[in-house]
Amino acid sequence: MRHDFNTLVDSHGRAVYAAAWRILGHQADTQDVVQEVFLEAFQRFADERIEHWPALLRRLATYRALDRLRQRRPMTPLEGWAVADPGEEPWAVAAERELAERLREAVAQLPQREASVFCLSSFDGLSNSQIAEVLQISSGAVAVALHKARGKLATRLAQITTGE
Amino acid sequence: MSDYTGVNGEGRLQDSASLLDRAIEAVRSEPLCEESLRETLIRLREPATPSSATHGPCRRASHRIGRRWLVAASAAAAMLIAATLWLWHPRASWAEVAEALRGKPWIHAIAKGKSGESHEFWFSAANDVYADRRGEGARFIDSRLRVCYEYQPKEEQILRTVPNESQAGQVLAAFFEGVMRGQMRIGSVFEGQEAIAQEERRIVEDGREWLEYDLTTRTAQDLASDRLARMRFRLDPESHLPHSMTISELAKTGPAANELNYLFDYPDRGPRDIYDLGVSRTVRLIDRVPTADLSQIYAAVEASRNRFDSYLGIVVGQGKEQPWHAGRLKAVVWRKDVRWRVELAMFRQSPPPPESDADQVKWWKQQLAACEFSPIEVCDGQTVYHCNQGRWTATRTIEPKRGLQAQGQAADSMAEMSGYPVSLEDKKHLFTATLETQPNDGPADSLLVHYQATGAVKDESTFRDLRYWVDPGKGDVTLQERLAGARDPDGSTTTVTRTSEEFERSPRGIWYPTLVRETVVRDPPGAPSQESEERVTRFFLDFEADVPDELFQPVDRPK
Repeated sequence: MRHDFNTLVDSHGRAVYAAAWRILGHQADTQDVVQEVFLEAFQRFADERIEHWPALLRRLATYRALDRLRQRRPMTPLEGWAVADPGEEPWAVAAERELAERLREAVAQLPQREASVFCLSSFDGLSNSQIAEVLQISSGAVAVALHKARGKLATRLAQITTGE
Repeated sequence: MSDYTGVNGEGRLQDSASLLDRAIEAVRSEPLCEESLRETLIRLREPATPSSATHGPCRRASHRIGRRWLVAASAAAAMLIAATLWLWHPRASWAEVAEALRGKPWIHAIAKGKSGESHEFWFSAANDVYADRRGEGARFIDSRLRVCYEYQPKEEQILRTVPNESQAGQVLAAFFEGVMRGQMRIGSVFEGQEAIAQEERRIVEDGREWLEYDLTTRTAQDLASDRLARMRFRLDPESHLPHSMTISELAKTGPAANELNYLFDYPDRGPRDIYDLGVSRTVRLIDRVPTADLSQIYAAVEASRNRFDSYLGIVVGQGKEQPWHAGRLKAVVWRKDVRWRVELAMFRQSPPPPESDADQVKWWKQQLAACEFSPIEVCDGQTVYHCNQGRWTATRTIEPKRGLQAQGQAADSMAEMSGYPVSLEDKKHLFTATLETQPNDGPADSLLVHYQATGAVKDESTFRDLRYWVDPGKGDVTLQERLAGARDPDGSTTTVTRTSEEFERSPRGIWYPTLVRETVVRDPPGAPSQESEERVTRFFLDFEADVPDELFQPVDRPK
């Protein structure tokens, strides 16, 4: 069993990490999500037959990372109750980095399916049929969700950058 | 992004798409941190191993006895020798007695009088609790929560009141604080009583040696009074623990008019509420506590969080509607006073399903044997250390006087931080706080502490409307927390709701949540609400686990 687990980590660890990293852009969050994904996947393994490990892992990585992304929200920093993360990187000032962060913020506001499809397509470079397999939906549904997601995100980014 | 200029119409759409593509490329071009990736995979693949890397400074938390403890411990001892209105302290043995009592969580004494009257009391300095039964009546005083429950058998009612300053425990604590400072005179607290004689001796009874002390008092203002009282106090010379106390009402001549003989013992557990004293739960409760005020709630919340028992906690994350044994291990935490240790725990194989009648805490604890651990954070009471790849680094210092100061993942791993959140406090000028004693929504029979941001909170993206529904019947534990009013630039708002659905009580009687459900709802303008996947966190706390001081040092645990 342990050998299986290690094999799984060796085979898919980088892909899971990369998928979570692109959605989150934050190391500590990414590490947490990767751990969650493997543990959840392995615990599912005890209950059900896993037909396609890569698809399951990628799906979990996308879902969990999006969950984490949506939970990010600043609290007003008050002495004694603001949750500080001493490991958090300082906010990057480079324009491209800022643009990436704005995109993540916008993705966090999308419905789950649209966000997942968009991330798998745009960040991970999967084809529509591959996404359909990962998310266990039809290719047509992928295409529709991707179209909607791109439209919303493009509008949202434009609003942000023009201050509307 | 200053180079982006939007135009109307089709050109603008093209620009938007172009901007999106640029943003996607920006995300994709962010390099993976290979070290972080490697660290993550090592954690997953291999058991945590003691590192040869330089460890942070190992500090043993010094055993500090604060003034508050002194007062409480003194009060515990005081209860032994002054259960009613008599007082005295055996100078020669005081330090030993205090030391012996220090290790006893509860003091219990029971007495029967000549006339059939009875009195029984419990006292815990650690819990700030005094309880007693006299005849059919009962009383439970929780000084920590500043509440007294008194059962009145004739009226068949329980009165809930604020403890009176003159009640047992309160007075005795003040008295012995003075004694310890050498400033107390007999009679300065128990007005009207003065000592007229005292004796100290060693006696042997049935082959066993005892230290025995007598104190005789009378009413100071009435020198001719015939009403004298004598307290005979017996101490075990080996354990230094009080064994018995006899209080006698004396006449100037003749035998004692009345006598009450207390026998002491030292149980591990004591009563947790008035009902543990045998009072029926069907008895009506009359609340005479003045309208609860915020400061009282703040004090109770802070006290419960800081005085929470030592424990080993297992934190499990779940999806919606999963049974208690499902889900993933989020963390394992050890807590003792203001110190904590948090580790990740990973199953190498899925645990077997439990028996239908399995003890949940025991079952989860058993599963830890099949886990591998990676330490995350330790606080030794003075400094917080993070562990990264076996290397411990001091990240911040804390003020022990401010109580438990866990943050981030450590705080998320502690049930008492969910039950008594740090954010439920006086927010001064940033928020206005109101207390609603009969809120229109939220859990039944709760009080609502409602914060609303003032103009001093400038950031629109922060939560501006915070609501905490607390249960006054459970020590003001938070039943529900709702954070709302955070607004995104597009006008959508986010609401986070955490609801504690199941509770347990610690051995000290502090309520804590065992199941917390969290939902996040986003409301875009003009569009349906979007609800995220519901998350459930379960806390399994073992208060009987060994929690040695060594755990709170920034080193790996022995395998």
